[in-house]
Amino acid sequence: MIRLEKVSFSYLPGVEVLKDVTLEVREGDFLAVMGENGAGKTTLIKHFNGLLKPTQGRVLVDDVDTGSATVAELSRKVGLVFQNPDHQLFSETVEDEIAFALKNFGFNRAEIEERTDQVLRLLSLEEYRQASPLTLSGGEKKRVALASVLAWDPKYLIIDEPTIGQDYEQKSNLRKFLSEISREGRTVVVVTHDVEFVAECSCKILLMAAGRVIASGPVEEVLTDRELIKKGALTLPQLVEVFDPLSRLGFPKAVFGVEEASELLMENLRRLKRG
Amino acid sequence: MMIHYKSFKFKKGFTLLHRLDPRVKFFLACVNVVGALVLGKTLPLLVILASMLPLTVVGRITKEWLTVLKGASVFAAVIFALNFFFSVVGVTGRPLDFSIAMALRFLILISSFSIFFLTTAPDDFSLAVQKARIPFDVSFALTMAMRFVPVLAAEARSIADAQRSRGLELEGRNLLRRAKNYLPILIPLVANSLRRSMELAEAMESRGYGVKKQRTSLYSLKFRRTDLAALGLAVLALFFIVFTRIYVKIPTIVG
Repeated sequence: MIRLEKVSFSYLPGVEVLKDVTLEVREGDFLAVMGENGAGKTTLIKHFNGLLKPTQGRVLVDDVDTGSATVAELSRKVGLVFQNPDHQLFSETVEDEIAFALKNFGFNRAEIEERTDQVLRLLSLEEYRQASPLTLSGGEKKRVALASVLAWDPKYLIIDEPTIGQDYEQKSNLRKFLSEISREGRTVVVVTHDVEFVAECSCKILLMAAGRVIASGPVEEVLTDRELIKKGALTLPQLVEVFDPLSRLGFPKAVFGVEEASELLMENLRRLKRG
Repeated sequence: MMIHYKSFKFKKGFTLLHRLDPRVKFFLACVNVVGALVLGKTLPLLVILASMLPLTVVGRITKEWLTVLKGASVFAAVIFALNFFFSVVGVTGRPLDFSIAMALRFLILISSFSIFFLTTAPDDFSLAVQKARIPFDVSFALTMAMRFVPVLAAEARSIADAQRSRGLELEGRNLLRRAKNYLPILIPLVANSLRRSMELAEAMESRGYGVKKQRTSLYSLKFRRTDLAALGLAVLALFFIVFTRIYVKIPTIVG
């Protein structure tokens, strides 16, 4: 469990970026941290592996205070995938890029090979094994960055803005992938302001605004609350906008999956046609 | 980072020193450098370094200057140690005075340019470079380089964060290994800088950069009375330095 107890943080004296944040990320959670730019989302997750230490309060990762452990030690458990893959890719080949962290964490050669193979397959990157990461497209780079973290099998996987610069298909692949590894029991935390992406994940939402957590709850609860959405400077998911007025006709108030929505509408229209 | 990039970053202000013509300030920095290079003993170098204090007080940058000195003192200590070691081994003159002087020389070099950049806006700097008849492309590249220092510094930090999250250790005693561990930071930094400069060039050309051969500036530099006075003082100081070098036998104060 990652636990934040009354955490405040400021980069510059007097300007608090996180204000009195208390939260728990439990094992097996699938959590989306949402909020507008500058709400403190990235600052929050940098506390999870000790890159930032709270100016007040404390952060515990499996009962270890991040103040008393190194980033490398904490990272073994808490895998953080950064927003911009260009900030981490440096190796000559994709394969080496993935092996980098494994070497740092002291895996032996057989394990490194096995795990590299595994994540390359998992993220459909096999054909790029020998390619230079710098020559890949934006979406592929993001996948390599994710693979390079997933390779050491961290207990907690934290991903910062995974949907930026991804086309629709890549996004939906990513959503399926994250849902799958979450179902397998891994703890996944996604930082994003992509409402549509989150709407179709069955996850919990942690909504932030101006350095505070203003709401936390399941998708159905947070993404239908107009007041909260406004406070968090988000927009309602498109399907919610569609179904909200339809609810007066007896439809459910909120539908999040496109397939579910289409089935519902088809069924009702068919009934209508039959008279 | 032992010497922080902020030591050389313009700090906005409206003091006498800030308003001084950048050319005069540059000349002043050069005079200090000349002084540091031609006078190789502790006493005069101490005087030069001390003379910077009132300058920083006028420019309200004393705090920043002291941070620079603090950061640079590590290197200064190394310079002192090396010089002392080799002059003792080689038995030259007064090793202690000489080694202190060498360390002071370094501090003066760093301080004089730090003071210049701390009090000179990038725009003023670029105007001054243009006035010196340096082609605009070159002067523009110079100012751009100056402007991007903070961006690079921030990016270096992000990259270091990303790599540390992948288990990279940047601490440790083995120097060779530490140097090698900086590669995962340097490679993305250089690659991103190259990419950014290409993008910047394209964006500038798309907005008409280089269409007109002859450029005009919105602001122009004019010499005022205070500039003349400061220039006069700087020339006087230069004269004094040269005079001291040629005619005065400087006493050795330590060693």
